[in-house]
Amino acid sequence: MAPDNQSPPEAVIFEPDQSLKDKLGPNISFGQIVPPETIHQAEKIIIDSRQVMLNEINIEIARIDRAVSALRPGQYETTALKRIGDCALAIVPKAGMCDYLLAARLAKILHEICEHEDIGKAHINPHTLAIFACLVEGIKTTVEHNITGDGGAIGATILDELSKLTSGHDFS
Amino acid sequence: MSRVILSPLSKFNVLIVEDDQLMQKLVHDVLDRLGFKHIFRASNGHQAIQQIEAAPIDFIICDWRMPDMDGISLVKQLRDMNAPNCMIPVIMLTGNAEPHHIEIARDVGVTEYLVKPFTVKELHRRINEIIEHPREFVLTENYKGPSRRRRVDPVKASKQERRNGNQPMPVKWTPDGSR
Repeated sequence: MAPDNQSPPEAVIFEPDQSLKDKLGPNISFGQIVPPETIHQAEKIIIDSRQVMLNEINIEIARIDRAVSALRPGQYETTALKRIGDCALAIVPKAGMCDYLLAARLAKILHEICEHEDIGKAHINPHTLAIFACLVEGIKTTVEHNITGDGGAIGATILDELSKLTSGHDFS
Repeated sequence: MSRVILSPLSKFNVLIVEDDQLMQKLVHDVLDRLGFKHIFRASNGHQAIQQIEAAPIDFIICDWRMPDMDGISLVKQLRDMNAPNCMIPVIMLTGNAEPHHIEIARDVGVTEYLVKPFTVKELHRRINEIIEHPREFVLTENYKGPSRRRRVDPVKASKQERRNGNQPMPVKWTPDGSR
């Protein structure tokens, strides 16, 4: 075996930058400056924004609804899929912060399907439309009926339905 | 005459890069409540670069998906800057939660990774990490960014040492902050 003449790649390593720590001042930590009570008050800002987030979720749902309704089997719908995927992704954090975990999960699945390479390249087919319809209905139902958390029995039903529709399709 | 005592956090310049106006406002208000007062905002990577060149930013909280220039391109451009600015810590706050996303972010030099929806506690933890446990900055031919190994927390390390009866190993860098 020939000797390895290649020298290892050179690396320049800078010491950790302590300037942020220095800004806090001596003998004081970030944890001391921001105690748990302050974190709790800041969490309240998110809770208080719930209605505004909900309004935006509904706007995104309406956009998705319109875009999905306009999809036609047999057509390439790359632009529409991108739009639906973007709207779905915009729902994820807001739904999550409103404790609509099921809606966030369904929106995430919808986004992933829209981003999936094989879906983007293929014609839209009735099966894909059925999956989209299930996901959109699931998101709408969750928000309309104020189903928080993982959705309990309704959540299980929606996911079961979705699982039947997507069996044999690898969207991972 | 009353005197206003400002939090030491009011000395920090923070930049939020987020195209979703509601999320941008939410992150802003949360940071403000935590005590940060100099908070700059940008809606895409281009605007962020302008802000970074104009003001001494201490750390950045940055979304991934944005029009015109996304968060990954921003971090790439930032790390390639020929100025001390290139080492600014970046917390990526994104809906992209897949392992390959985290790998991409790590490889361009993102400092901390936080998945939306986020909680204030999680954001606080990431900020704490960049302030209290800054890492070495590494420049190689293929990588510019924070060292991918976290420094050993002396308290945790000594506990681990007591449990294992051996020397602590440096904790591997995990972009989501898990250990």
